[in-house]
Amino acid sequence: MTTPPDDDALLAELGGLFARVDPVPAEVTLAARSALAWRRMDAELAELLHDSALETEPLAGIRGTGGGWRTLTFETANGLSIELEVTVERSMRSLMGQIVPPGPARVLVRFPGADIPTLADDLGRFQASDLRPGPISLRCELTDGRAIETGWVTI
Amino acid sequence: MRPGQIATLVNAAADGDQDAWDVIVTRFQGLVWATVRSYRLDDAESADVVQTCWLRLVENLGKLREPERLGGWLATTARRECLRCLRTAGRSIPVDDETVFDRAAPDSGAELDAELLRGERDTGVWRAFGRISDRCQRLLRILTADPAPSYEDLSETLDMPIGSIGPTRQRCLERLRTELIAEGIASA
Repeated sequence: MTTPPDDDALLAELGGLFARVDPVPAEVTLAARSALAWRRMDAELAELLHDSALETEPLAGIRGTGGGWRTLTFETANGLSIELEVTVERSMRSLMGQIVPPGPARVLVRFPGADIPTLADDLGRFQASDLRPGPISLRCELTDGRAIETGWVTI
Repeated sequence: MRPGQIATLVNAAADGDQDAWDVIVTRFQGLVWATVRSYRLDDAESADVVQTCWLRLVENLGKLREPERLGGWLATTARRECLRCLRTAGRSIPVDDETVFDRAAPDSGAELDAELLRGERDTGVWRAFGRISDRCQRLLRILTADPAPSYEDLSETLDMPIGSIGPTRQRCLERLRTELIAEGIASA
């Protein structure tokens, strides 16, 4: 038994403990470094306007079930919006999307390191399923040549 | 790192300078990681949330209002992503209320690889840490991030006025010391 360490010594001991047992994993550092490659070059940004997962009360049916859904709305400065419904089922995610104003588009569900292509129909609806959890951004290439990319969200 | 240097790095990274970006990652990844871990996300969730934070920074590099307060911006983004992740998964949100500082955490939730704990003292310190309140655990975890965060960044990360950090830190360490004594690894 020793006398209790003073504040600085105790903090230093804790810091050492965290550094040993829970350091930043090498792959997390690697992924962080590679994030710069995702700079947006040729597309308009659709920013996240609304996320049901940030509402004060969790959605009914979600708490404790390990599954549920979440709605997200992205919008560009020009008023084009993308509505997204994410279905969460254990380790799988599905997306149903709607581009407004409605219209066909080529849609890429972008994960760091992989793009999953899909199409929006004439009514602007698109979907993707069997996605793994992780950060995604949607890139929508419209028929008039414009490209829209949403902000990154974790699904 | 001086505040002006951070703004310079942010501007360089916005122009695609990978070296500048790597310096930013090295400077702030400890803070982001500590923040995310303090919400007790598992390894995969933590990695996803951290990556989302960096990707979101990339998309905002040219638009940060106060680039010199980057650490606070990153940690705030991390905190919000953690809450999103917990809510989406239907898990309870750790209590963040000042008034429950003295209440012990209901369970330590400390999911660490026990093999990494070196000897009895580590184990005892770890158990003691698991018994102090959620908010104290979070404060101490983030305070000890490497490299050490600035008080401005801490204030934003913990959503706490700068003036409260010192006294709260002292109080949380006092709680920890009491638990160390209970563990028998320090005497009163």
